[in-house]
Amino acid sequence: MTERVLEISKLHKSYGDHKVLNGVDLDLNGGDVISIIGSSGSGKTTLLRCVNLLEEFQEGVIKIDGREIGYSNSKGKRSKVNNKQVTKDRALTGMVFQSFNLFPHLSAAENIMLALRKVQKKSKKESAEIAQHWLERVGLPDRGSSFPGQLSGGQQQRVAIARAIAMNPKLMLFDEVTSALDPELINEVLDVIKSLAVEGMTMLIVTHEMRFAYEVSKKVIFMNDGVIAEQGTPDEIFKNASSERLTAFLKNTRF
Amino acid sequence: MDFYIDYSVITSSLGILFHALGIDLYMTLFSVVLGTLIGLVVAFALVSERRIFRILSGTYVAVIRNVPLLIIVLFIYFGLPDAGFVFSEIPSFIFALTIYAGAYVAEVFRGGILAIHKGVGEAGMAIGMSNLQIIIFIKIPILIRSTMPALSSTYISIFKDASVAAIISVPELTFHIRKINLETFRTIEAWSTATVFYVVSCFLIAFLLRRVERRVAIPK
Ligand SMILES: Nc1ncnc2c1ncn2[C@@H]1O[C@H](COP(=O)(O)OP(=O)(O)OP(=O)(O)O)[C@@H](O)[C@H]1O
Ligand SMILES: [Mg+2]
Repeated sequence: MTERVLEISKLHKSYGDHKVLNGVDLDLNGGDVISIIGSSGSGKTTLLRCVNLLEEFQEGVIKIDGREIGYSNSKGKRSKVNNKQVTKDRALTGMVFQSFNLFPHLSAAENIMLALRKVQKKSKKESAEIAQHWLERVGLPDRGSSFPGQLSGGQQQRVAIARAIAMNPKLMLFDEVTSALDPELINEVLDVIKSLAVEGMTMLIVTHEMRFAYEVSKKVIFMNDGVIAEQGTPDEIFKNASSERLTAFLKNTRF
Repeated sequence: MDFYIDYSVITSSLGILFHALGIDLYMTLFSVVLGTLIGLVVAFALVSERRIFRILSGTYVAVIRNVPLLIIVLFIYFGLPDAGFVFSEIPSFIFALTIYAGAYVAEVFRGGILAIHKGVGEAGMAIGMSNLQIIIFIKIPILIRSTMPALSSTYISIFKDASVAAIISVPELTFHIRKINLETFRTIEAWSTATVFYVVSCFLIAFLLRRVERRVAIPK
Protein backbone atom coordinates (compact mmCIF):
# COMPACT_ATOMS: atom_id res chain seq x y z
CA MET A 1 0.00 0.00 0.00
CA THR A 2 2.43 2.65 -1.03
CA GLU A 3 0.81 3.92 -4.17
CA ARG A 4 0.22 7.63 -4.37
CA VAL A 5 -3.38 8.41 -3.40
CA LEU A 6 -3.37 12.19 -3.31
CA GLU A 7 -1.12 14.56 -5.17
CA ILE A 8 -1.56 18.30 -4.78
CA SER A 9 0.70 20.55 -6.79
CA LYS A 10 1.03 24.32 -6.89
CA LEU A 11 -2.46 24.92 -5.53
CA HIS A 12 -3.54 28.55 -5.57
CA LYS A 13 -6.87 29.75 -4.33
CA SER A 14 -8.28 33.18 -3.68
CA TYR A 15 -11.60 34.63 -2.70
CA GLY A 16 -11.80 37.69 -4.91
CA ASP A 17 -8.59 39.62 -4.26
CA HIS A 18 -7.89 37.75 -1.06
CA LYS A 19 -5.24 35.08 -1.66
CA VAL A 20 -5.85 32.17 0.67
CA LEU A 21 -3.67 29.40 -0.74
CA ASN A 22 -0.37 30.41 -2.24
CA GLY A 23 1.04 27.36 -3.94
CA VAL A 24 0.52 24.27 -1.82
CA ASP A 25 2.26 21.00 -2.70
CA LEU A 26 1.34 17.88 -0.82
CA ASP A 27 1.40 14.13 -1.44
CA LEU A 28 -0.23 11.28 0.40
CA ASN A 29 0.49 7.61 -0.15
CA GLY A 30 -1.96 4.86 0.64
CA GLY A 31 -2.27 4.46 4.42
CA ASP A 32 -0.63 7.77 5.19
CA VAL A 33 -2.01 9.90 7.97
CA ILE A 34 -1.01 13.53 7.68
CA SER A 35 -2.08 16.20 10.13
CA ILE A 36 -2.29 19.86 9.30
CA ILE A 37 -1.82 22.42 12.04
CA GLY A 38 -1.60 26.18 11.84
CA SER A 39 -3.17 29.33 13.13
CA SER A 40 -6.67 30.49 12.33
CA GLY A 41 -7.06 31.81 8.82
CA SER A 42 -3.97 30.08 7.47
CA GLY A 43 -6.03 28.21 4.89
CA LYS A 44 -6.38 24.72 6.38
CA THR A 45 -10.11 24.42 5.84
CA THR A 46 -9.83 25.90 2.40
CA LEU A 47 -7.23 23.31 1.44
CA LEU A 48 -9.48 20.43 2.48
CA ARG A 49 -12.47 21.99 0.76
CA CYS A 50 -10.49 22.24 -2.47
CA VAL A 51 -9.60 18.55 -2.28
CA ASN A 52 -13.29 17.76 -1.76
CA LEU A 53 -14.14 20.13 -4.65
CA LEU A 54 -16.40 22.17 -2.41
CA GLU A 55 -14.35 25.17 -3.53
CA GLU A 56 -13.09 26.11 -6.95
CA PHE A 57 -9.43 26.99 -7.26
CA GLN A 58 -7.67 29.16 -9.78
CA GLU A 59 -4.39 27.34 -10.25
CA GLY A 60 -2.83 24.00 -9.53
CA VAL A 61 -3.64 20.35 -9.93
CA ILE A 62 -5.17 17.87 -7.53
CA LYS A 63 -4.84 14.22 -8.47
CA ILE A 64 -6.40 11.24 -6.82
CA ASP A 65 -4.98 7.85 -7.75
CA GLY A 66 -3.05 9.61 -10.46
CA ARG A 67 -6.03 11.24 -12.17
CA GLU A 68 -6.74 14.96 -12.06
CA ILE A 69 -10.04 15.88 -10.38
CA GLY A 70 -12.31 18.85 -10.88
CA TYR A 71 -10.51 20.30 -13.87
CA SER A 72 -9.17 19.10 -17.16
CA ASN A 73 -6.20 20.36 -19.10
CA SER A 74 -6.26 19.93 -22.81
CA LYS A 75 -3.82 21.72 -25.09
CA GLY A 76 -2.70 23.86 -22.21
CA LYS A 77 -6.20 25.12 -21.58
CA ARG A 78 -7.64 24.55 -18.13
CA SER A 79 -11.37 24.10 -17.74
CA LYS A 80 -13.78 22.86 -15.12
CA VAL A 81 -15.19 19.41 -15.69
CA ASN A 82 -18.97 19.14 -15.85
CA ASN A 83 -21.13 18.90 -12.74
CA LYS A 84 -21.68 15.22 -13.10
CA GLN A 85 -17.95 14.57 -13.11
CA VAL A 86 -17.44 16.93 -10.17
CA THR A 87 -19.97 14.88 -8.22
CA LYS A 88 -18.11 11.69 -9.12
CA ASP A 89 -14.70 13.12 -8.29
CA ARG A 90 -15.99 14.41 -5.00
CA ALA A 91 -17.14 10.93 -4.02
CA LEU A 92 -13.51 9.78 -4.10
CA THR A 93 -12.93 11.62 -0.86
CA GLY A 94 -14.92 11.52 2.36
CA MET A 95 -15.16 14.69 4.39
CA VAL A 96 -16.08 15.17 8.03
CA PHE A 97 -16.96 18.67 9.16
CA GLN A 98 -16.53 20.57 12.37
CA SER A 99 -20.30 21.00 12.67
CA PHE A 100 -21.23 17.32 12.05
CA ASN A 101 -23.84 18.26 9.43
CA LEU A 102 -25.98 15.19 9.87
CA PHE A 103 -29.31 15.17 8.06
CA PRO A 104 -31.65 16.08 10.92
CA HIS A 105 -34.73 14.38 9.48
CA LEU A 106 -33.08 10.98 9.14
CA SER A 107 -32.09 8.47 11.78
CA ALA A 108 -28.42 7.67 12.30
CA ALA A 109 -28.69 4.54 10.16
CA GLU A 110 -30.63 6.39 7.45
CA ASN A 111 -27.99 9.11 7.41
CA ILE A 112 -25.44 6.47 6.48
CA MET A 113 -27.75 4.64 4.09
CA LEU A 114 -28.93 7.60 2.03
CA ALA A 115 -25.96 7.95 -0.31
CA LEU A 116 -25.32 4.21 -0.36
CA ARG A 117 -28.76 3.87 -1.87
CA LYS A 118 -29.05 6.98 -4.00
CA VAL A 119 -25.46 7.35 -5.16
CA GLN A 120 -24.12 3.82 -5.10
CA LYS A 121 -27.55 2.35 -5.91
CA LYS A 122 -27.18 -0.40 -3.36
CA SER A 123 -30.25 -2.29 -2.15
CA LYS A 124 -31.96 -1.25 1.04
CA LYS A 125 -30.89 -4.46 2.72
CA GLU A 126 -27.24 -4.14 1.76
CA SER A 127 -27.19 -0.45 2.74
CA ALA A 128 -28.69 -1.28 6.11
CA GLU A 129 -26.04 -3.92 6.70
CA ILE A 130 -23.24 -1.55 5.78
CA ALA A 131 -24.75 1.13 8.02
CA GLN A 132 -24.98 -1.28 10.93
CA HIS A 133 -21.41 -2.43 10.34
CA TRP A 134 -20.10 1.13 10.54
CA LEU A 135 -22.30 2.06 13.47
CA GLU A 136 -20.74 -0.82 15.35
CA ARG A 137 -17.34 0.23 14.17
CA VAL A 138 -17.75 3.73 15.66
CA GLY A 139 -19.13 2.31 18.90
CA LEU A 140 -22.83 3.00 18.36
CA PRO A 141 -24.27 -0.44 17.60
CA ASP A 142 -27.69 0.26 19.08
CA ARG A 143 -28.20 3.90 18.11
CA GLY A 144 -29.15 3.31 14.47
CA SER A 145 -32.73 4.42 14.98
CA SER A 146 -31.85 7.55 16.96
CA PHE A 147 -32.17 10.89 15.25
CA PRO A 148 -29.34 13.43 15.30
CA GLY A 149 -31.27 15.62 17.75
CA GLN A 150 -31.31 12.70 20.16
CA LEU A 151 -27.55 12.10 20.08
CA SER A 152 -24.72 13.87 21.88
CA GLY A 153 -22.23 15.87 19.85
CA GLY A 154 -19.66 13.13 20.09
CA GLN A 155 -22.15 10.53 18.96
CA GLN A 156 -23.29 12.72 16.08
CA GLN A 157 -19.74 13.20 14.94
CA ARG A 158 -19.10 9.47 15.05
CA VAL A 159 -22.18 8.92 12.89
CA ALA A 160 -20.86 11.56 10.50
CA ILE A 161 -17.56 9.68 10.28
CA ALA A 162 -19.43 6.43 9.65
CA ARG A 163 -21.52 8.12 6.97
CA ALA A 164 -18.46 9.37 5.12
CA ILE A 165 -16.41 6.22 5.39
CA ALA A 166 -19.29 3.88 4.48
CA MET A 167 -19.01 5.30 0.97
CA ASN A 168 -15.61 3.64 0.75
CA PRO A 169 -13.61 6.74 -0.20
CA LYS A 170 -9.96 6.63 -1.23
CA LEU A 171 -9.14 9.31 1.26
CA MET A 172 -10.74 10.77 4.36
CA LEU A 173 -10.61 14.48 5.16
CA PHE A 174 -11.22 15.67 8.71
CA ASP A 175 -11.67 19.36 9.43
CA GLU A 176 -11.32 20.11 13.13
CA VAL A 177 -13.87 17.46 13.89
CA THR A 178 -13.60 17.88 17.65
CA SER A 179 -13.63 21.68 17.86
CA ALA A 180 -17.37 21.88 18.45
CA LEU A 181 -17.35 19.22 21.14
CA ASP A 182 -17.37 19.44 24.90
CA PRO A 183 -13.97 18.36 26.25
CA GLU A 184 -15.27 15.10 27.69
CA LEU A 185 -16.58 14.03 24.26
CA ILE A 186 -13.40 14.69 22.30
CA ASN A 187 -11.63 11.44 23.01
CA GLU A 188 -14.40 9.13 21.85
CA VAL A 189 -14.16 10.77 18.42
CA LEU A 190 -10.36 10.85 18.31
CA ASP A 191 -10.26 7.18 19.29
CA VAL A 192 -12.40 6.28 16.28
CA ILE A 193 -10.04 8.19 13.99
CA LYS A 194 -7.02 6.51 15.58
CA SER A 195 -8.52 3.10 14.99
CA LEU A 196 -9.09 3.97 11.34
CA ALA A 197 -5.45 4.98 11.11
CA VAL A 198 -4.39 1.63 12.52
CA GLU A 199 -6.48 -0.09 9.87
CA GLY A 200 -4.60 1.74 7.14
CA MET A 201 -7.10 4.41 6.11
CA THR A 202 -5.50 7.27 4.19
CA MET A 203 -6.31 10.48 6.02
CA LEU A 204 -5.68 14.19 5.93
CA ILE A 205 -6.54 15.70 9.29
CA VAL A 206 -6.82 19.34 10.25
CA THR A 207 -6.70 19.56 14.02
CA HIS A 208 -5.98 21.70 17.03
CA GLU A 209 -5.43 18.61 19.17
CA MET A 210 -1.64 18.56 19.19
CA ARG A 211 -1.18 15.41 21.24
CA PHE A 212 -3.53 13.56 18.92
CA ALA A 213 -1.65 14.87 15.86
CA TYR A 214 1.59 13.77 17.46
CA GLU A 215 0.33 10.27 18.15
CA VAL A 216 -1.58 9.51 14.99
CA SER A 217 0.39 11.17 12.20
CA LYS A 218 3.14 9.93 10.02
CA LYS A 219 3.82 13.51 9.03
CA VAL A 220 2.73 16.88 10.37
CA ILE A 221 2.30 19.97 8.25
CA PHE A 222 2.38 23.49 9.61
CA MET A 223 0.48 25.95 7.46
CA ASN A 224 0.99 29.66 7.59
CA ASP A 225 -0.40 32.37 5.31
CA GLY A 226 -1.59 29.93 2.71
CA VAL A 227 1.62 27.96 2.32
CA ILE A 228 3.13 24.93 3.94
CA ALA A 229 5.63 26.70 6.15
CA GLU A 230 7.08 23.57 7.66
CA GLN A 231 6.63 19.82 7.55
CA GLY A 232 8.18 16.78 9.09
CA THR A 233 7.70 13.84 11.39
CA PRO A 234 5.74 14.55 14.57
CA ASP A 235 9.02 14.59 16.50
CA GLU A 236 10.59 17.08 14.12
CA ILE A 237 7.61 19.39 14.32
CA PHE A 238 6.69 19.15 17.98
CA LYS A 239 10.03 18.41 19.62
CA ASN A 240 12.54 20.18 17.43
CA ALA A 241 10.62 23.09 15.98
CA SER A 242 13.18 25.23 14.21
CA SER A 243 11.41 28.22 12.70
CA GLU A 244 10.33 31.13 14.80
CA ARG A 245 6.78 31.03 13.47
CA LEU A 246 6.23 27.42 14.39
CA THR A 247 7.76 27.87 17.82
CA ALA A 248 5.48 30.84 18.43
CA PHE A 249 2.45 28.90 17.24
CA LEU A 250 3.23 25.89 19.40
CA LYS A 251 3.78 28.06 22.43
CA ASN A 252 0.15 29.14 22.20
CA THR A 253 -1.30 25.66 21.99
CA ARG A 254 -1.94 22.98 24.49
CA PHE A 255 -0.14 19.73 24.00
CA MET B 1 -91.89 45.83 13.78
CA ASP B 2 -90.75 43.22 16.25
CA PHE B 3 -87.24 41.94 16.25
CA TYR B 4 -87.05 38.17 16.47
CA ILE B 5 -84.68 35.39 15.61
CA ASP B 6 -85.76 32.53 13.38
CA TYR B 7 -83.28 29.93 12.29
CA SER B 8 -85.81 27.83 10.39
CA VAL B 9 -84.61 29.27 7.09
CA ILE B 10 -81.20 27.93 7.97
CA THR B 11 -82.20 24.53 9.27
CA SER B 12 -84.25 23.90 6.17
CA SER B 13 -81.18 24.48 3.99
CA LEU B 14 -78.57 22.74 6.10
CA GLY B 15 -78.05 20.06 3.46
CA ILE B 16 -77.30 22.67 0.84
CA LEU B 17 -74.98 24.53 3.19
CA PHE B 18 -72.95 21.44 3.96
CA HIS B 19 -72.72 20.68 0.29
CA ALA B 20 -71.59 24.26 -0.29
CA LEU B 21 -68.96 23.89 2.42
CA GLY B 22 -67.84 20.74 0.62
CA ILE B 23 -67.24 22.80 -2.51
CA ASP B 24 -65.07 25.20 -0.50
CA LEU B 25 -63.07 22.32 0.91
CA TYR B 26 -62.75 20.72 -2.49
CA MET B 27 -61.47 23.92 -4.11
CA THR B 28 -59.13 24.53 -1.19
CA LEU B 29 -57.71 21.04 -1.33
CA PHE B 30 -56.94 21.35 -5.04
CA SER B 31 -55.41 24.79 -4.68
CA VAL B 32 -53.37 23.88 -1.62
CA VAL B 33 -51.90 20.76 -3.18
CA LEU B 34 -51.11 22.39 -6.51
CA GLY B 35 -50.08 25.65 -4.84
CA THR B 36 -47.66 23.77 -2.60
CA LEU B 37 -46.01 22.11 -5.58
CA ILE B 38 -45.75 25.46 -7.35
CA GLY B 39 -44.52 27.10 -4.16
CA LEU B 40 -41.82 24.50 -3.77
CA VAL B 41 -40.44 25.02 -7.27
CA VAL B 42 -40.76 28.80 -7.04
CA ALA B 43 -39.03 28.89 -3.63
CA PHE B 44 -35.97 27.11 -5.00
CA ALA B 45 -36.02 29.48 -7.96
CA LEU B 46 -36.14 32.43 -5.54
CA VAL B 47 -32.87 31.34 -3.93
CA SER B 48 -31.30 30.01 -7.13
CA GLU B 49 -27.84 31.07 -8.22
CA ARG B 50 -29.25 31.71 -11.68
CA ARG B 51 -30.37 35.31 -12.04
CA ILE B 52 -33.04 34.55 -14.58
CA PHE B 53 -34.75 32.12 -12.19
CA ARG B 54 -34.66 34.68 -9.42
CA ILE B 55 -36.13 37.39 -11.62
CA LEU B 56 -38.97 35.24 -12.97
CA SER B 57 -39.93 33.79 -9.61
CA GLY B 58 -39.48 37.11 -7.82
CA THR B 59 -41.81 38.82 -10.29
CA TYR B 60 -44.47 36.16 -9.87
CA VAL B 61 -44.41 36.38 -6.10
CA ALA B 62 -44.32 40.18 -6.03
CA VAL B 63 -47.21 40.56 -8.46
CA ILE B 64 -49.48 37.98 -6.86
CA ARG B 65 -48.85 39.12 -3.32
CA ASN B 66 -49.56 42.71 -4.18
CA VAL B 67 -52.84 42.17 -5.99
CA PRO B 68 -56.08 41.41 -4.13
CA LEU B 69 -57.31 37.87 -4.64
CA LEU B 70 -60.59 39.29 -5.90
CA ILE B 71 -58.80 40.96 -8.79
CA ILE B 72 -56.95 37.77 -9.68
CA VAL B 73 -60.21 35.83 -9.63
CA LEU B 74 -62.04 38.33 -11.83
CA PHE B 75 -59.08 38.68 -14.15
CA ILE B 76 -58.92 34.94 -14.75
CA TYR B 77 -62.66 34.39 -14.89
CA PHE B 78 -63.37 37.18 -17.34
CA GLY B 79 -59.97 37.56 -18.95
CA LEU B 80 -59.12 34.01 -19.97
CA PRO B 81 -62.26 33.48 -22.07
CA ASP B 82 -61.36 36.63 -23.98
CA ALA B 83 -58.00 35.04 -24.68
CA GLY B 84 -59.74 31.93 -25.93
CA PHE B 85 -59.57 29.72 -22.81
CA VAL B 86 -63.01 28.94 -21.53
CA PHE B 87 -63.37 27.41 -18.06
CA SER B 88 -66.46 27.00 -15.94
CA GLU B 89 -66.59 28.79 -12.58
CA ILE B 90 -65.05 26.18 -10.32
CA PRO B 91 -61.99 25.30 -12.42
CA SER B 92 -61.46 28.97 -13.12
CA PHE B 93 -61.52 29.76 -9.41
CA ILE B 94 -59.27 26.82 -8.53
CA PHE B 95 -56.83 28.14 -11.09
CA ALA B 96 -56.86 31.60 -9.51
CA LEU B 97 -56.62 30.31 -5.95
CA THR B 98 -53.75 27.98 -6.92
CA ILE B 99 -51.73 30.80 -8.40
CA TYR B 100 -52.46 32.84 -5.31
CA ALA B 101 -51.55 30.02 -2.91
CA GLY B 102 -48.35 29.29 -4.85
CA ALA B 103 -46.95 32.74 -4.15
CA TYR B 104 -47.67 32.62 -0.43
CA VAL B 105 -46.39 29.07 -0.03
CA ALA B 106 -43.26 30.02 -1.99
CA GLU B 107 -42.50 32.74 0.54
CA VAL B 108 -42.93 30.32 3.43
CA PHE B 109 -40.63 27.81 1.77
CA ARG B 110 -38.08 30.46 0.88
CA GLY B 111 -37.70 31.31 4.54
CA GLY B 112 -37.37 27.62 5.31
CA ILE B 113 -34.68 27.09 2.69
CA LEU B 114 -32.62 29.98 4.04
CA ALA B 115 -32.91 28.48 7.52
CA ILE B 116 -31.44 25.13 6.49
CA HIS B 117 -27.86 24.96 7.69
CA LYS B 118 -25.51 25.35 4.72
CA GLY B 119 -23.41 22.45 5.97
CA VAL B 120 -26.26 19.99 5.50
CA GLY B 121 -26.20 20.50 1.74
CA GLU B 122 -22.41 20.37 1.71
CA ALA B 123 -22.49 17.09 3.61
CA GLY B 124 -24.71 15.75 0.86
CA MET B 125 -22.26 16.99 -1.76
CA ALA B 126 -19.35 15.48 0.11
CA ILE B 127 -20.89 12.01 -0.04
CA GLY B 128 -21.37 12.32 -3.77
CA MET B 129 -24.98 13.40 -4.10
CA SER B 130 -26.00 15.59 -7.02
CA ASN B 131 -27.69 18.93 -6.51
CA LEU B 132 -31.02 17.49 -7.54
CA GLN B 133 -30.66 14.57 -5.15
CA ILE B 134 -29.80 16.97 -2.35
CA ILE B 135 -32.91 19.00 -3.06
CA ILE B 136 -35.18 15.97 -3.30
CA PHE B 137 -33.87 13.78 -0.50
CA ILE B 138 -32.49 16.32 1.94
CA LYS B 139 -33.73 19.86 1.50
CA ILE B 140 -37.38 19.27 0.67
CA PRO B 141 -37.97 16.79 3.50
CA ILE B 142 -36.33 19.13 6.00
CA LEU B 143 -38.23 22.06 4.53
CA ILE B 144 -41.66 20.49 4.77
CA ARG B 145 -41.06 19.47 8.35
CA SER B 146 -39.66 22.78 9.49
CA THR B 147 -42.25 24.96 7.75
CA MET B 148 -45.29 22.88 8.64
CA PRO B 149 -46.52 25.30 11.34
CA ALA B 150 -46.30 28.28 8.98
CA LEU B 151 -47.79 26.26 6.13
CA SER B 152 -50.76 25.33 8.31
CA SER B 153 -51.76 28.91 8.83
CA THR B 154 -51.29 29.66 5.14
CA TYR B 155 -53.55 26.74 4.27
CA ILE B 156 -56.24 27.94 6.66
CA SER B 157 -56.11 31.40 5.11
CA ILE B 158 -56.50 29.83 1.69
CA PHE B 159 -59.57 27.97 2.91
CA LYS B 160 -61.15 31.20 4.09
CA ASP B 161 -60.20 32.87 0.82
CA ALA B 162 -62.20 30.26 -1.05
CA SER B 163 -65.21 32.38 -0.07
CA VAL B 164 -64.16 34.87 -2.73
CA ALA B 165 -65.53 32.37 -5.25
CA ALA B 166 -68.96 33.70 -4.36
CA ILE B 167 -68.26 36.69 -6.57
CA ILE B 168 -68.27 34.53 -9.70
CA SER B 169 -71.30 32.58 -8.50
CA VAL B 170 -69.58 29.38 -7.46
CA PRO B 171 -72.28 27.79 -5.27
CA GLU B 172 -70.07 27.59 -2.22
CA LEU B 173 -70.85 28.52 1.37
CA THR B 174 -70.62 32.30 1.28
CA PHE B 175 -72.58 32.37 -1.96
CA HIS B 176 -75.42 30.37 -0.41
CA ILE B 177 -75.46 32.32 2.81
CA ARG B 178 -75.73 35.52 0.85
CA LYS B 179 -78.51 34.01 -1.20
CA ILE B 180 -80.45 33.05 1.92
CA ASN B 181 -79.91 36.53 3.27
CA LEU B 182 -81.24 38.17 0.12
CA GLU B 183 -84.19 35.85 -0.27
CA THR B 184 -85.38 35.74 3.34
CA PHE B 185 -83.96 38.92 4.90
CA ARG B 186 -82.82 36.76 7.86
CA THR B 187 -79.55 38.65 7.90
CA ILE B 188 -78.35 37.85 11.41
CA GLU B 189 -79.28 34.20 11.14
CA ALA B 190 -77.54 33.87 7.79
CA TRP B 191 -74.24 35.47 8.68
CA SER B 192 -74.03 34.03 12.17
CA THR B 193 -74.43 30.62 10.55
CA ALA B 194 -71.60 31.44 8.16
CA THR B 195 -69.46 32.46 11.11
CA VAL B 196 -70.09 29.20 12.91
CA PHE B 197 -69.42 27.16 9.77
CA TYR B 198 -66.12 28.90 9.14
CA VAL B 199 -64.93 28.90 12.74
CA VAL B 200 -65.69 25.23 13.25
CA SER B 201 -64.17 24.25 9.89
CA CYS B 202 -61.00 26.21 10.51
CA PHE B 203 -60.74 24.72 13.95
CA LEU B 204 -61.04 21.20 12.59
CA ILE B 205 -58.55 21.87 9.79
CA ALA B 206 -56.11 23.32 12.29
CA PHE B 207 -56.56 20.28 14.50
CA LEU B 208 -55.82 17.92 11.60
CA LEU B 209 -52.82 19.93 10.48
CA ARG B 210 -51.46 20.00 13.99
CA ARG B 211 -51.53 16.21 14.02
CA VAL B 212 -49.70 16.10 10.71
CA GLU B 213 -47.25 18.62 12.09
CA ARG B 214 -46.55 16.44 15.09
CA ARG B 215 -46.17 13.34 12.99
CA VAL B 216 -43.62 14.85 10.59
CA ALA B 217 -41.74 16.88 13.18
CA ILE B 218 -38.01 16.20 13.33
CA PRO B 219 -37.39 14.14 16.51
CA LYS B 220 -35.48 15.90 19.23
N1 LIG C 1 -16.20 31.82 1.64
C1 LIG C 1 -15.20 32.67 1.88
N2 LIG C 1 -15.20 33.90 1.32
C2 LIG C 1 -14.19 34.76 1.54
N3 LIG C 1 -13.13 34.50 2.31
C3 LIG C 1 -13.05 33.30 2.90
C4 LIG C 1 -14.09 32.33 2.72
N4 LIG C 1 -13.75 31.23 3.44
C5 LIG C 1 -12.59 31.51 4.02
N5 LIG C 1 -12.14 32.75 3.72
C6 LIG C 1 -10.88 33.37 4.16
O1 LIG C 1 -9.84 32.51 3.79
C7 LIG C 1 -8.84 32.52 4.78
C8 LIG C 1 -8.52 31.08 5.17
O2 LIG C 1 -9.66 30.52 5.78
P1 LIG C 1 -9.70 29.02 6.30
O3 LIG C 1 -11.09 28.79 6.76
O4 LIG C 1 -9.17 28.14 5.26
O5 LIG C 1 -8.71 29.07 7.52
P2 LIG C 1 -8.38 27.96 8.61
O6 LIG C 1 -6.93 27.74 8.56
O7 LIG C 1 -9.25 26.78 8.40
O8 LIG C 1 -8.74 28.68 9.94
P3 LIG C 1 -9.42 28.12 11.28
O9 LIG C 1 -8.34 27.50 12.09
O10 LIG C 1 -9.98 29.34 11.95
O11 LIG C 1 -10.49 27.14 10.88
C9 LIG C 1 -9.34 33.36 5.92
O12 LIG C 1 -8.72 34.62 5.84
C10 LIG C 1 -10.82 33.49 5.65
O13 LIG C 1 -11.28 34.73 6.09
MG1 LIG D 1 -10.85 25.91 9.49
